[in-house]
Amino acid sequence: MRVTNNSTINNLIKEINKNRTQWADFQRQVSSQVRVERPSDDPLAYSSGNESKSVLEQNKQYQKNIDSGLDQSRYAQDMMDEMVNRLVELKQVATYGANGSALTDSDMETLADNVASLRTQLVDLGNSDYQGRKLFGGTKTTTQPFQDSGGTLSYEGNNKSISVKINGRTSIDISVTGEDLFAYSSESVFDLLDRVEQNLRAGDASAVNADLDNITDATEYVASKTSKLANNINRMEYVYNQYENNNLTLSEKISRELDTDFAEAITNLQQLDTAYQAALSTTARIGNLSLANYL
Amino acid sequence: MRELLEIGKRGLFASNRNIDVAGQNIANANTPGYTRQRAELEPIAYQKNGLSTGLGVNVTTVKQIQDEMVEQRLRQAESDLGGLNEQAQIYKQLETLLVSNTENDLDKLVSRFFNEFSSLSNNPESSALRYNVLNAAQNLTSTFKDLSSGLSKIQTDIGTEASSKLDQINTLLKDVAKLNQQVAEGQVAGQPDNNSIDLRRQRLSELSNLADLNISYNDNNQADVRIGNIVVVRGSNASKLNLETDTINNIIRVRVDSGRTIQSDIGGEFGALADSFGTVVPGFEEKIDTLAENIVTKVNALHRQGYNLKDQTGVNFFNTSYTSASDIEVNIAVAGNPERISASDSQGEPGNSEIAKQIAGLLEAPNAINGSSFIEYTLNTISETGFALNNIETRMASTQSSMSMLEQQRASVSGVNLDEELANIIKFQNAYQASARVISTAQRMYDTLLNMV
Repeated sequence: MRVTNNSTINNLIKEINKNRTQWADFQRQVSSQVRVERPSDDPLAYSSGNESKSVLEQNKQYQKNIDSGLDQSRYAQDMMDEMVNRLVELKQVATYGANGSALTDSDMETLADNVASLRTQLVDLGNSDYQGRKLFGGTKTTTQPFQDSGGTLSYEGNNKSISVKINGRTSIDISVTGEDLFAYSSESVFDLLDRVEQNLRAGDASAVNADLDNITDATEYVASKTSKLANNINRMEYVYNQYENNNLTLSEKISRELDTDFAEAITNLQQLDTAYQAALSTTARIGNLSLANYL
Repeated sequence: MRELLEIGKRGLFASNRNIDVAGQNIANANTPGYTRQRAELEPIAYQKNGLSTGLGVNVTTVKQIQDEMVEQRLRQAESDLGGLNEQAQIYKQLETLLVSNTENDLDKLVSRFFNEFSSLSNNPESSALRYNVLNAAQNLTSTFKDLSSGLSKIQTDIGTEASSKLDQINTLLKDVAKLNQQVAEGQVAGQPDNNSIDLRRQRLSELSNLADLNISYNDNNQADVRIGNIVVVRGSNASKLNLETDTINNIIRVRVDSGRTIQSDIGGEFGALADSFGTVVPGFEEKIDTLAENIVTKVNALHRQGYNLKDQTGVNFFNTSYTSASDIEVNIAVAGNPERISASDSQGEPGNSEIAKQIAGLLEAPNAINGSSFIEYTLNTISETGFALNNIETRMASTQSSMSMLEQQRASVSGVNLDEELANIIKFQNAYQASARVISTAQRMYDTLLNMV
């Protein structure tokens, strides 16, 4: 085959250009630390890497939801702990009052006042809000759940618990509705409180005594609601950590798909460097070869 | 003896001519499209006294050395490569438009929009979170609009580019027709006009870049050119090609002044432009529109069922009159009033976020749009540019390698090898000296004769 000067040189130029292009790409990979910046760098890796990125974002969103849910439910739990404490106090006051024979009428009256104050505190706790959001009124979060008009207490909330979304399918309750929270039996805790207060005021020690078991039941009931909420809190913490682990795996996957493998990129760069130099030195030599030199 | 002088003279002349040709070859070694020439020599027959000796040598013609087969395949490769190049450029533009690799890419904005609804569901009473939802929605809608106008800008640019490419085609066709005329004149005169043939080959190769040519030669060595199986150059007449752009149906076609239209199989750069105008860019427009439309209808369907903080129901989140990427917008009634975002599924329950949760859930719905999730669909659309570019690059590489093989073949037939030409110069220089020696020998023979007198 006849080989002409131009074809030799054109070939060399082509090879040099090819090396140059690859060189530039590896250089970009090393300097930007990203292997796949655009779909054309590696379309499969781009779409699967970015799909993982979107899952990661979604996970982080659920973690954000859980964070918000944990803040609210921990606050609700604190309030409910307080309620249990108030009910324990009620038990002490009532036990004292059940011993009526040793007490004067005014003692009983004082005890009744104590109960009334405990009731007010319980109502206040039931109306507590977290950053403006009523926690115990169900989904009617902007109205005062427990409203007292002339001694009659009404519940203005509903029985749908507020919740946060923790994954694609599940929402988790972050509080207990006021209706559920105080319904320890067929009557509510407030009915019980009202009766104990009345009996104390009437000096009816035996009637007070008869309610002691009910008070225990009510305390246990509210405490059980607290521990149920605590279960939800644990569950949220558990799911949060699951996301944390999952995110680690995802980040590794994303990095594997989209980021530069330095060892590989640098080895490739060195290889190209050698090839490039070889091409250049051959060019320089071939250029010198000519019959004209010998004429 | 007179013949000897004649033979010597002709030898000098032939060597001289050969050195001229070698010189021309060397001078044009780097001229694009130049075809190596060779002087064709022929002995002159002469009979004297019944003996056949000859009267020296004659230069019959200066011939080009080329292989039309290779030329044809080269032109095909050139038109393929031109088309691929143009396609690659268009896909690169599309890729740059669709992917910035920042948080403002469409897939990220879609995901953020739905995630803001998820955030809202944690605390649906919060106006800050409601503003975040509106923000994300507005970022999404304005990005849809940017993409849509970017795509139609690319489409317009393609139209302009096609028109300027067609102008180039017309100029080249006229050149070819004019060169055909000159080639035919040379042919008729018996001496091929190598210069015009080279120039015409050059023009045809430029034309091949722009469109796929079908070339046949008539008896006078004139090139008849067909594009898309329609004759555009016959002999020394070139047709004028006119561009017809149909922006409604997205069609670019070429009308020849004979009235016929060329619509498909144009090939080359122009063909790539016409194809992109017809299918590629409209394809992306349609996909982006479908995405926008599905987001609008799916979000609205849920949102309408919900109740907002003003206890209104039946309110749309997006304006229902606009469902394409170019005009998608948040319902005016909602845009300025974040409390009108519906998060609750029941009246009078501001803390209820069922609807917000369901809207957020659309992000994960596996069949949200054409059997895939919103994110999958968006990423598929975006990465399509990458798949296409990779495919084009692979085809370009293979076309390029077959082209460089063909170029080598052409060079090995038609290219100039300087060493070879230099060797020829030495050869003919020696021959020149030898012929001169023949003449001086003849002269001395005359002298010898004359001295006898």
